[in-house]
Amino acid sequence: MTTIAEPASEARRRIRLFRYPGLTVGGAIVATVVGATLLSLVWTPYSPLTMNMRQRFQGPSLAHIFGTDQFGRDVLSLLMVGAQNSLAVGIVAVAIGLAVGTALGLFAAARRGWVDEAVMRVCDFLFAFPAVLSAVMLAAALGPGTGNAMLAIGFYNIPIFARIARGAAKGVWVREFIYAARTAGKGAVRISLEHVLPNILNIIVVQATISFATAILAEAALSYLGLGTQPPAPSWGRMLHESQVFLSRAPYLSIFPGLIIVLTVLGLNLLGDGMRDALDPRHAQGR
Amino acid sequence: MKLSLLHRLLSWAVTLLAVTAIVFLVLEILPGDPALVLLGPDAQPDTLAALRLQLGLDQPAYIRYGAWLAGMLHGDLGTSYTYGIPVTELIGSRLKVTIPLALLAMSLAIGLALVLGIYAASRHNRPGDYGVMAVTQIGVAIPSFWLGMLLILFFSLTLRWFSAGGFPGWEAGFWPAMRALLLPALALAVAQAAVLARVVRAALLDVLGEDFVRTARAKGLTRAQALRRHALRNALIPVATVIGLQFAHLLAGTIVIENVFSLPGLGRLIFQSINQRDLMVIKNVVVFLAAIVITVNFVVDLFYLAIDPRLRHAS
Repeated sequence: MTTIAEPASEARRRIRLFRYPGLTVGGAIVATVVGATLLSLVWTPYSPLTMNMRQRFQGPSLAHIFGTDQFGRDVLSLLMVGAQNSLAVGIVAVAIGLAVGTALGLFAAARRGWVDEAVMRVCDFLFAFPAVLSAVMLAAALGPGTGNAMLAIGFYNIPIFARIARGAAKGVWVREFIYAARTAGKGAVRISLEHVLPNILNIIVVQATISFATAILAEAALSYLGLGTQPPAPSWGRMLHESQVFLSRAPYLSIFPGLIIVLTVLGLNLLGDGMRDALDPRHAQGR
Repeated sequence: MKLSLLHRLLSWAVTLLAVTAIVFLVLEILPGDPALVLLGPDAQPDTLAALRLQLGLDQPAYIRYGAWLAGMLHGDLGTSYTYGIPVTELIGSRLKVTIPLALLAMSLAIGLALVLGIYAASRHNRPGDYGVMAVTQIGVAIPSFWLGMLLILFFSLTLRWFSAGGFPGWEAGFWPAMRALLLPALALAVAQAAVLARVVRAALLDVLGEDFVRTARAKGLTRAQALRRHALRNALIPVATVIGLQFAHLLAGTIVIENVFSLPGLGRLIFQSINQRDLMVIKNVVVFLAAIVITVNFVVDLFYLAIDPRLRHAS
């Protein structure tokens, strides 16, 4: 029985996977970017920071797939190391938004009344500061840097997670198993953590993936403006900023970093959308 | 109705006040000594002391905050350290670039989104629909500043149809000025259009499933006629809300795009002020931009209240 059942379930799983092409394609793109980033921790084709003025402005070739920059550095190696920075900012910024936002949303849903109202007003307030504006303030007060970019993008994510967590948690709070838990004497905090959170985790994870994509775009914009990662640490946005001067001489210097950003963001968005469709088929049908 | 209007107005005012408090806290208290921020770490002690006196830093923080708010109410935002002219004058002159840029970008985004969204909804689950959805996925993923660079590369450096940046000023005439704003507006509009096209499509598909559209079809209208005459008007309600919310993002986007195209707008001003450590300009421009975001959200709220009677009764 088991030997027959196993291949059948394996085949079904495969079919289910291909029913959501976004999930597969997005997952593959994200896995490739993450793989290349992890590889860059131990190996890059060339040293990303060593300058070689004889090799400057070499167009794409077999030796340098994405060419070399104005200092003769290998663009592919710079992009690989730059990915470390983009992913790190994305992870920390989403973690800030997710942790604080979800906690606020759960709190608002559990307490309702004026607490709920107050939390939502705090969210309205945070919405008034798009990431670039927060980054401008932090850079003016404390100086530009990766940490400030993480904080600015993280703050921007707080109200997004708070609203989503609150909305979903409110739906869970009216269900019967919550009444049962309350009858059993559990308090609001325990119910929120043990019963509400596990039931809204799907939505939170999907939002985290989409917020990750937004964070990568925001980090690139901040680094482009010089408010994010500072030289000599390579970053995708910074590479684009430096390449703009050489736009007519070496357009590939602008094209490849941009393409990598588009590909990464596209992969994350496809992954997020695919996950949402797979976890909630009603949503997929409605689209 | 009056009560809910008052409630929203109060909420708008409190949020605005909170924004000024946070901006003051981050820019005047957090760095420790604003005079040191302005003059840099190598400043002489007597120069620092003179500047502290000139800025009124010898006063307690709450008095300085109160004076700033009072000035704001009278339209006096202080004087820029770098430019030596009133900040209101500086903001006013820069708005002549930023507001037209944002409006042009928003118009382009709405136009593109309506065309794409209506087309996708009318071809639901057919290749045209899939094509539009794929294009919008890519549109959302493109950084506006990179798109700006590509537009410069293609239209300015290769075809030489537009200048690669700069602004001739409105004195040079309406068309030359609009020409300078077209590429930056397009760079800003694409991502917004991609998001909005998806909203238009989803809203239309929602409305197309409603009973009144079915009735219209039963009366003999084709799908396209029903979409144009009945569905579109009803679908515009959620679309208008998203347009309002997106305007805030668009305004923030101008900070980046104005730097790509070297446009002398608010975004470029705030960026230059960071490099020149002109806190007076930074704090007022940040409050100004945040106030626009809050006000746009407030207007969207009012719009909702006006069109949906259920919300009036609920509140």
